[in-house]
Amino acid sequence: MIASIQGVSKIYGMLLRLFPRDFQKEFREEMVDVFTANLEEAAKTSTTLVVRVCIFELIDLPVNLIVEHFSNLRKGNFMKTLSYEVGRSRAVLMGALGMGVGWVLNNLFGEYFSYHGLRELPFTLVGLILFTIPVILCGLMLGIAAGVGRRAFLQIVLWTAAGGILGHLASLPIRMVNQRILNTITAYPGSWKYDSTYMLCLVAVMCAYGLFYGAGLGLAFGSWKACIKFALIGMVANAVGILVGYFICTGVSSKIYLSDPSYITWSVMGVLVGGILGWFVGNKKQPIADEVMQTGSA
Amino acid sequence: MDITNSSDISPLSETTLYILVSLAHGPLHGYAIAKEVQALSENRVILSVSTLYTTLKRLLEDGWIERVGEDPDPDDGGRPRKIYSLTERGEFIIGLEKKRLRALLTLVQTRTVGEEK
Repeated sequence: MIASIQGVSKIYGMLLRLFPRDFQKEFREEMVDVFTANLEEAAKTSTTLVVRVCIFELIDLPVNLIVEHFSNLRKGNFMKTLSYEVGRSRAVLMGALGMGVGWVLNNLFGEYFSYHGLRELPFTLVGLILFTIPVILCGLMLGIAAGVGRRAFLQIVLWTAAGGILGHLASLPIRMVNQRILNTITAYPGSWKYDSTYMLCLVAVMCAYGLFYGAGLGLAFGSWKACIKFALIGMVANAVGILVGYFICTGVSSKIYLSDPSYITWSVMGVLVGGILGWFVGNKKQPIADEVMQTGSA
Repeated sequence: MDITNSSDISPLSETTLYILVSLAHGPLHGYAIAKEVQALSENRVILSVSTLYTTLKRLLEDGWIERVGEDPDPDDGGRPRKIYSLTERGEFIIGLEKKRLRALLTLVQTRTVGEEK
């Protein structure tokens, strides 16, 4: 029951984010605490009462949301809030576009280099460059969304490139081990055993890659705290993204095989991951922009 | 601010009045205000959290209540809870409302005294 109450309180806390920012800043934590206390008290009586408390809150919430937004509008804060929300949406779109297009370019260049026999070994310089494309592009787009100064773009390129290269290097041992495992599997490519092994490797590769490029992006946007945060986001979002991308694509077309992640799979992953990173950059838009401006001009 | 200025005061809503009255006996935190209102109204007025806090916000802005600190020792060991208290202006508003309700009651009693018999 305690876990359920905590879960419901978290959802309530998320719903409270619909209130104007000033209101949230002042009352959100307090409201969640009172709501949790109400639920805990209701739980002492019966589960039905807990459900009633939740329904009662849900009925009242929309009315109070409208009242509060109108009151905010009257005070002239609406435009400020709107401009912040537009800024954040822009950061999400830019991040999604940057990473999505980056992966498309990665695949296109990859095909081109393969055709010319330049990408036969995974260790080649071409491979390193290809894997840095999405993350550099994402970083640059996020930089534009965050409104950083011109000089900060060089810093973004350097950090994101370093992150992309390190991520690619970190993923190589996993690929090599996976290749050995696949070689020992006697089943034909396309069988369940082959595909699940390949998928597991792909997720592990994306985790390793995301961890490093996330860290690079975090450093590009100014702090060690952001570095750790973005590394974790990159790691988790990349792994989830590749799975989401794969399941969407296999649902769309049967021609897409697990052993050959398509342009679409990678792009869907890129859009998802870039969007999530954009959300975080957009959330802290002004402070991050300021930090990069200072570092960039230092 | 002139706390006795009553030109812009319209009759209080039930929620507002109950919240102000709940604070009349001393400062309380948000959860205690909700429980006090429920007790004062004999379970007739139950405030949702969002109604409670949107009203508290308005009362804070109007200067009828104020934050006077935090509960240093919350019961559940969680975050310290903010304490709200009536301001002089808030007390004055309760006084005005009391007068208004008394006048209204007198009027109703005078006019309906014959009908009651």
